[in-house]
Amino acid sequence: MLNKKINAIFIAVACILCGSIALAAESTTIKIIPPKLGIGAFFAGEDITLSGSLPSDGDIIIEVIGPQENAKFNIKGRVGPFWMNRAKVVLQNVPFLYVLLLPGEKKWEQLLPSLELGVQHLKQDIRISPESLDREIIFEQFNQLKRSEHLYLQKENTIHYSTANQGGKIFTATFHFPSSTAPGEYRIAATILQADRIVKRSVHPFQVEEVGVIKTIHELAYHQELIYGILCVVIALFVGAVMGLVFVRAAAH
Amino acid sequence: MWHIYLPIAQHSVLLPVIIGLGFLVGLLSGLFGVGGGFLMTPLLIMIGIPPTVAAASDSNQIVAASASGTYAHYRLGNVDFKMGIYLLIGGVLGGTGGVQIIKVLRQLGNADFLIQITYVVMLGVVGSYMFVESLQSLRSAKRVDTTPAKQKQSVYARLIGCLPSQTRFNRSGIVLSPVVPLVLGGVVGILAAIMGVGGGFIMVPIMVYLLRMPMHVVVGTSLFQILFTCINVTIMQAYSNRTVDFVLALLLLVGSTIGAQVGAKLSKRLKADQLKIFLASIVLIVMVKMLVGLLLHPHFLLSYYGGD
Repeated sequence: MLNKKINAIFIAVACILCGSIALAAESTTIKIIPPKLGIGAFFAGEDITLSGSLPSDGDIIIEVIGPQENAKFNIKGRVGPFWMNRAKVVLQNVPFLYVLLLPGEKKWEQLLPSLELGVQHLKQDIRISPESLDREIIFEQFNQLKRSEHLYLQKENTIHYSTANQGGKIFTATFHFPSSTAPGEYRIAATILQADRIVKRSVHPFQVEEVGVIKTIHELAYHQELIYGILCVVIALFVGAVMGLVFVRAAAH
Repeated sequence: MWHIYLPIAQHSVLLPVIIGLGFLVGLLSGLFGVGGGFLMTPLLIMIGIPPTVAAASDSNQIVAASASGTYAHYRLGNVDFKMGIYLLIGGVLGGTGGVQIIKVLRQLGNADFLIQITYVVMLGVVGSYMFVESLQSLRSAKRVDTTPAKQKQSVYARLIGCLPSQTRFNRSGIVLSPVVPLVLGGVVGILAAIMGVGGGFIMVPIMVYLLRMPMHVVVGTSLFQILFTCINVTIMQAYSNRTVDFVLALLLLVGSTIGAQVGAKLSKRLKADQLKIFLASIVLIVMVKMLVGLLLHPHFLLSYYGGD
């Protein structure tokens, strides 16, 4: 009798959980405007807007993750009275940019470690070479440097909710890609929570690419290096000569 | 509207800031005959340009500034082409040797330490010597001395007087063996390669104090030599490292070519000792800034590879 009751409770709980996941799964499509980012000659950073729907009791966390790279750094240390570059360090598999957008109302600092999200969680996936270096110190210094460039951020109160007409709720968030954004394949990861637990996570690719004259110059510099170098010199000489002539004529009048 | 994106630096910058920096360095170039790399590269790094891109693009813009400055000084009759070519040959040979020295030092480690200490020592010695000497010269010029002084020839003057193939350098009004500019050009080439700069701020004092060239000819001749050094560096950097940002260089050179012309005109109005004191002051300020940077605890213990 007792076993039957326990089984019934388990089945009921499982049904509730499955229902929630199904609901969440139906509503994790994120609308991203604009759908991709073009870096043109006058690019000064740009806003993207993210929106979608959620279960009424759900929360969403959005991660904007830049292309993975192996970042090389000098480490400064003391040599007598001087601070000098003393060693090199490579941080493998680090995102160029990592921004975590969070809604308000929760104590995220306590919650994020258990959700395995946030800047601090990145540390687990990063390989530091040489391995003899202090992982904690290196990562903290790396994090500080990236934060100073506005490339690693955790922003609370940046996701806003409103009630949807057909039940559930709608979220909207705006993220500003900084002017130092590098082109590449970015990812926008949406994690849906219910009762502070992850019920769904979806990752959306987001392309940031150079366009127009910026793309042409970049391709020339990387694929026709010698021609590019000679062109740089010829144009510089031409501009220098023209400016010289302009000034000579101006002085003559 | 005022922002522009740099395709190689992969960074957006404010247009007036870059053009203003170009003008400032162009002004120095026209005034003193220095490329300005020792000043421009740290300024570009400060506004967020990666160090390797800053150094390479700066060389590219110096091509325009020094071409414009050389032309302006040529019109004023201030370029000693003969001397410039000897210095250039020495500089190219010395620079090639300097690159090899740096390769060996990097393998041994501590190359960065040597580079920065060389900077501080060279800037300190050159700046202090120029400053004190020019100050003394300005003071003595104020006193009216009617008795002609008997000048004793220095050991250095006697030594270079003994060298073979004494040649007259008409524009500079001096007689010297070509060995002197070849050797001195070579020494500057080695130092410039180690320090990663054009070497104008070392070359100018060498021309003034060791080659005894008149200050106004020094400026034009130095620019002539820098022009060729920077053409070589720009092509090599673009080909080997892909670090020349043409958009950045173009913006800098718009400002620098105007600055170079203004500087060339200003240099005619200023006395030689005044010019030397200005240059010495700038050299000493950069030296102090570097020294403070070496002594104070850095804000970040990590810096991007290839940086300061």
